[in-house]
Amino acid sequence: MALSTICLLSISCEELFESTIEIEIPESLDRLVLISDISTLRDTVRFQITHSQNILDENSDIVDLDLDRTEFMIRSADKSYAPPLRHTDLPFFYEMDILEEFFIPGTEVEIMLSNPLYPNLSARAKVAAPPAASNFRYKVDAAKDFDGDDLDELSFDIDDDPGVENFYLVSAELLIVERYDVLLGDLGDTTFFRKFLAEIYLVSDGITIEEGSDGKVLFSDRSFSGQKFNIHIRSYGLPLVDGRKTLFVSVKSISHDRYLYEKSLGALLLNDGNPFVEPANVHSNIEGGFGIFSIDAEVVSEVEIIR
Amino acid sequence: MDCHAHLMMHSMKKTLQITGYLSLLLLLLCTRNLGAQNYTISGYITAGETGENLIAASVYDLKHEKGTVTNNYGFFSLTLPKDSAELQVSYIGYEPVVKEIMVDRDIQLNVALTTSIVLDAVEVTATQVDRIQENVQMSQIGVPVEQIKKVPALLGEVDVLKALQLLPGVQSGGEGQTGLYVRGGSPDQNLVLLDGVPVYSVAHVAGLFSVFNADAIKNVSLIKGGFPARYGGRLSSVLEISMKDGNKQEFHGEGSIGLITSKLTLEGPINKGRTSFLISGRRTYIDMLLRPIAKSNAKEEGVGLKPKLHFYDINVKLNHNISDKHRLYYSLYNGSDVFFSRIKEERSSFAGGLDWGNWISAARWNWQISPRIFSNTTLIFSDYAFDSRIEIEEEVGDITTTFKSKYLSGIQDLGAKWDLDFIPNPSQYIRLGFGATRHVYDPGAISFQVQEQNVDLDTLIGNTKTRSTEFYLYAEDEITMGNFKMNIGLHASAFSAEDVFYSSLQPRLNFRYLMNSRWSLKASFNTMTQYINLLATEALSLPTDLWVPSTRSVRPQRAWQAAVGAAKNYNGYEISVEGYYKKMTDVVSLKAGSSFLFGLDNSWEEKITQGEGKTYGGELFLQKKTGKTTGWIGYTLSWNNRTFEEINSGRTFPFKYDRRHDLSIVAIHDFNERVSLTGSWVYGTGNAISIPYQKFNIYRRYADGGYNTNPVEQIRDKNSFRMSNFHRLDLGIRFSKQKKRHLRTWSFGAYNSYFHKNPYFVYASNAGEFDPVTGQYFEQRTKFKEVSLIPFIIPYFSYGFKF
Repeated sequence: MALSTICLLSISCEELFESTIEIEIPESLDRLVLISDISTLRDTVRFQITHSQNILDENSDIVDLDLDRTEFMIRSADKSYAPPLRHTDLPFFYEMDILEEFFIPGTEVEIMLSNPLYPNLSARAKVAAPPAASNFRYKVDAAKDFDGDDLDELSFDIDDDPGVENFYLVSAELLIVERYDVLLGDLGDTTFFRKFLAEIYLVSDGITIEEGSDGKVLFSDRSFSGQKFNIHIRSYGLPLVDGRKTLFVSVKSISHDRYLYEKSLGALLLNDGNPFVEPANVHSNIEGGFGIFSIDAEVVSEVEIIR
Repeated sequence: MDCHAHLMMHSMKKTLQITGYLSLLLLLLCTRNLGAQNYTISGYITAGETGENLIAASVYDLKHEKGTVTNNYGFFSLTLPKDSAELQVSYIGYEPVVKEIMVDRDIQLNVALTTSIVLDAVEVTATQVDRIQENVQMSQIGVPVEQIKKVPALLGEVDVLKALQLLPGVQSGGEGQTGLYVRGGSPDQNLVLLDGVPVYSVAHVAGLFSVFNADAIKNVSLIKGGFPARYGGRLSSVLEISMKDGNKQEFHGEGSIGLITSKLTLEGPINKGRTSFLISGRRTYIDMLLRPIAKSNAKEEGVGLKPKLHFYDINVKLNHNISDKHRLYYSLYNGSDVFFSRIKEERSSFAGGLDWGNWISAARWNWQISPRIFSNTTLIFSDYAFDSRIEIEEEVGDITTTFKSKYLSGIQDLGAKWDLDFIPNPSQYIRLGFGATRHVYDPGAISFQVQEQNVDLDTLIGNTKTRSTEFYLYAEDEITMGNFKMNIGLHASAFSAEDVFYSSLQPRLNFRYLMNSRWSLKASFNTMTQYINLLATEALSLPTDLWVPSTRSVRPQRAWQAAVGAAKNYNGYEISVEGYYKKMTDVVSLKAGSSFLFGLDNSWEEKITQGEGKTYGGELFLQKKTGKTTGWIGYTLSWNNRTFEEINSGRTFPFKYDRRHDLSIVAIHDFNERVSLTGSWVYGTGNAISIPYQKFNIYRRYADGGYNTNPVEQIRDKNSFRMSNFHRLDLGIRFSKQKKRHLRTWSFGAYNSYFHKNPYFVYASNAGEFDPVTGQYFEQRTKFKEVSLIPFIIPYFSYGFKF
């Protein structure tokens, strides 16, 4: 109570409690930031490219890169490739087409990016092998949440190499096809995807071992023992108007770097503004810049939901 | 039998074997004087006025120049040749007693010392064997409780732990906090014992006050290194606090009324000279003052309000001398913080709050088996529990909905230990013992109850309780050979949890060489193992801090420490200089970006990481315990670094409380019996902090095609910047007067006497500033601002009485 009172006082009487101090921040160059979203399943590779600013700089705008002055190169063991980067419809998001069979599991891929305004950026990542996920099942109203509401449960098996630590990222989208009422005129089918996992828990032996956020759950096989383990993911189901829906479940094998990046970013967003949190960087495996470069391997399964 | 059980059996056998050999060796060593015709004088040294056992009182034979000190129960044993002896018994603050005794048989001698009337009349003679240069134990500091009571304190609330923060090698975390950072360790690495029982939560009100009521305490001793073999289970320090036994001669009481708490202690004989009791209570009363105002405000708004806002402590002690050979003690402590309120409206009610606290209990049996052998058997119980509750009831139409949720966490210990002191001759003091503790951890369970028209849910979510057992055996021998004295020992411990078993052999060595009667050189080496960990934020001591066991993936913390030093006694001044180096492995830290605050779940193992800690430095301590002016100067020069593979990209970084310079000056001057002036000044290097140097945005796409922006700041090296240096002056004055029936004391003082804004945390501000010319806000460069918790002077007063 005394502490809360003091905290409240310190907020209300800023001048009394605060003093401005001079801290010398070492000179540092602004750097390129690259965040990749690469999956071996897809033939288009997406990047987010931006740049950082010195913390003391005025809050000037961060602008898109001038692509004419930017060189981009991606290289595997025996192939070098410098495809043109394209702007997408969103600022800071770029994409490129990738050569077929460029990403061979186990091989190392290097990426390089240069722009005269910033130090050169490079990163390496090993192409992940697809996860051995199988036996997808879906159970309606399998459990209850803290408020007593029903939770659906998605479960599947992963055949895992117990000798090394592997990392996985699971997300799911529900394909919804709706036919509008004839009274409004037959507008045909409208198809859209909806994030399935509003709240998500990873459960093993009845114990919640991981809590997901933003429609995905991230975990390490250290949470399980043995070669084959069973994953249970619980989430709120959606009302099934016509009783049948298709759920697209994506299971990705991800690199340790990607795992650390997602974890650190998730923690940072979750604890934003919490003064008791240990200060931390968002994990980066980029040389000369910030961000993440990881080539993940994905399998997507379709699961029929029947209520 | 499974593999785990085999491993456990093998390890236990090995431990028993080694300890057995060591015990045998000690017994062989002590047979060397058996041929001579010797007799033993043994007994208890007590305070004459109260009957309290005096700890570390000196018993010295002036004729043969042999001596000993009393143990934690006031017992001594001194074996001398058949001859006359001139026995001097002394203790600081008491008149020394000299007795001429003919030692022609074993003698039981109980001595009651009387308080010295004039403080500076106490002569510190060359016969005291507990003088700093004589003692083989290094890195140990005892501060008399009467001195602690005089040190000025925040809001006048006398605080044992805050007084200890003024000693060299001991640092405070932040302004007003009770946490002890001893030689670079964290607060969970301190073994805090109240009458031999571990105390798991030592703080009230998020660390602003400690749970120890100074009126109920007899003795405080802190060991920072060179740990004797009888202690184990923590890496950085042992803080042993002994409660008063209760006056065996007369009924007495003392108390005080202060700004935030009132205290009352009553003690006296139940059976004069043999059985006594002590009961002491302390309670805050801010809620009693606020309640009528809050109620009246609530009534005006048509709401019923019942706030509860307080903390309290109760200490109870009973002791009974069955005979000269058998004594029984029972100690009980209960303390709790309660923050709870109930709001009632016409058709709804809300009740919610937090409470947390300790229950601690010890039953002890002292048995003087022979004049040279003393045993103590202790049964211990310690329970720390945190409880958070919410109850909501709402009526809508005919339907009543009830929602109840409860979050519980804590730790419970049940254990037993046996300690044996064997004093075969004045040159040897052997200690043997063993103990076992069963820990039960409640790592946070949430229960929900929902009652509605169609729903009746009663769920318990969270991990079930986990259990572990900790065992230890020890043997130590304190041997004197001329000017050379050593304490060698071995502490063997084992820990068994659900699917893990860990064990550890920890050698303990202390050496002392007496250069002359005034000064000595000392050295020590010890290893320590800690099997339980505290999941806590670094910034505050919170009730949600959680004790958890070592597991398959969380290894026990281990440390070794080496220290060298010199100690000198000069005209009543004790001076010690020590240098130390401590290496800790598998210390626990939160992973970057993680927080336990309001986010506890079963994945705690995922949130922590283990690494190394290295801490080294030098300490200077100058203390004056007697005379009109008493006090001390403590200075520490230290380095304190951590290395974690998963933090700061594996690079070594300074610990948050790495403090290059730490200086404390405490002075107490008694002008006469009625007036005393006290002051303390502290200075410390600013805490290490992390400051970002670059910022960028991460953009996240929405399913509808849009995106959001998440600003991210990057730090270059963890804790590579410093807050401003810390310094503060506290002053106090006491006026005492002996009234007809009681002694009354008025205490006045001021905390932070010269209004210094000591930084508590730093934040980056890039808020725009208002331009009065244009009438607009304009952007500005980021500035860093330090926030102080107590930037002003806090005066205090209290009224105390003693009868």
